Amino acid sequence: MIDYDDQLQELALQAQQFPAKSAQRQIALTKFIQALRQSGKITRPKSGSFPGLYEDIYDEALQRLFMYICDRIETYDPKKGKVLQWVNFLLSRRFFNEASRDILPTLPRGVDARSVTCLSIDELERHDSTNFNPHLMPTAGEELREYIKNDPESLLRVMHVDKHPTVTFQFLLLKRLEKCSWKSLSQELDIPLPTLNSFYQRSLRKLVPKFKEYLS
Amino acid sequence: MTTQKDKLTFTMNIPRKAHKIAQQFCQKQPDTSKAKQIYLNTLAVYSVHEYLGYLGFDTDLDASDSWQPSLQYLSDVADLEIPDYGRLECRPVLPDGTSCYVPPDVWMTESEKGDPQRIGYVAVQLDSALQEATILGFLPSVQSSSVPLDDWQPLEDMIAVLSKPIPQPIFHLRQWFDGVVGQGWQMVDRTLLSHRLSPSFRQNPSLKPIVQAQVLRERQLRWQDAVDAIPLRLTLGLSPTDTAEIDIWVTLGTQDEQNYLPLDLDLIIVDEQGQSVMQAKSCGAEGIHLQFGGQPNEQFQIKVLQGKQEITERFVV
Repeated sequence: MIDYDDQLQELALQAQQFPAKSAQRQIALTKFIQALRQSGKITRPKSGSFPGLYEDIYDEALQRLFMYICDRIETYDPKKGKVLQWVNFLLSRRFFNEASRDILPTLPRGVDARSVTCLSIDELERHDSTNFNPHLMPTAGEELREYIKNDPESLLRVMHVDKHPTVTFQFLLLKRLEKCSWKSLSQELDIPLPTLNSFYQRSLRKLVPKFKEYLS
Repeated sequence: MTTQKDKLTFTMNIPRKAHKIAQQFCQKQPDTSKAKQIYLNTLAVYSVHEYLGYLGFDTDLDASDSWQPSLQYLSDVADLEIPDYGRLECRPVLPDGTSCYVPPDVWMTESEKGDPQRIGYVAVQLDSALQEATILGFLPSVQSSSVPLDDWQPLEDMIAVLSKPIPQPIFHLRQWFDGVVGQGWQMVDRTLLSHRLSPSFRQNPSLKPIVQAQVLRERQLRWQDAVDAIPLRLTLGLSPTDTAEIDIWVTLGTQDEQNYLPLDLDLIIVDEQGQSVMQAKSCGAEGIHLQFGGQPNEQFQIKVLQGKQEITERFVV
């Protein structure tokens, strides 16, 4: 059985010893927050309130709490109490309230928080696009694919890999959309993978503003 | 995660907000496997953003490639932009994964080698419910698509990189011809410049005058902690030549035209290997002038030294 109070106090005092923003302090703080989470003793204030929204508020409150703790670790005074008392006091008296005040008013305008479920990996694999896109609009990806195929401004078919005029940016884009791997493309074309990839990434970056028009 | 026991890692809840953003990104994605890739990339990037936020590091999701729908679609990106430092590639690891997949899309390209803009790679293991993320480790560079989890360096290494002073920018001189000039470099008034140059320099026929350079820019140089030091002005002139080489002029003077340079001031040009290739002493003159040629992609530094003080500006042709 680990005594969390002692361990946490030791880590907090360790972090205090190093100058603010130093790598040593950031490492000590990482260990400290990690131990706080592992203790399982961070309070959940007003549990049961704000149905459907509680987790959003709690996430926000924890984020603010951890940021505050990392920024002001020197304000922890072991004479005034144990680490968990300090942390849980800050969370329940300050950051949970602040977070609920800030999150509640944003609701009517934003996405309905209640409709967002956190998917698991299994659910992701079973998911089809209609779940993400319930309105079944033509997906923006199709417009982009069309743009790449037609290349109305002849932008994509003139850019090509050095010394390989047939290996154009358009050709590579279409191959990538067909999910050809870089490895197989490199073998097929007999061009080293880094050469292909470097050309592709450079060209991609150049055309980001153009693609944005078709996929926003 | 048994293999990682003695290394520093960081486990956290994945905020619901990360799921919301991931779902928004995937709305545009008809393909299930692509959607999964974007979803997991988004969670990995967001988790690192959240963790670095605790420690007070600035991050900029909107400036990251991983937040651009077109790049998500046409590439496999999971970068996180850290202003003034560069980008961290945050690759998701599956719950039962023993290695981290790093697609060739995000390998360092030839032109990026030595570019401080790419800080490194972070492996982020997700649990099967996608509720928890563990930041497993860091690597400054990756050249293979599958990196065993044991090979990742502990989190300390990433923190050490991010805690260093902000790396100095490298100014890309070729871009200056297109008007893309590094921050802090001002336009130069050619008439004032020719007046400023000492008569002896103006009359030296062996040197092409800097005033004729196609691009002329200057910036004030500040010593780190000398309040009463004379403010200096570094002027750079650039002109293309018939070959790929460009002509480079460097002039160091004082900000106030009435002043002379301090006696013990040195102006040094240092090449890629750190060797000093040109050096001039002020000897109390009004200005120091150097001229040399630069090959494409050649890197050099201009160093100004006085006593223990040093100012360095870095350039690439």
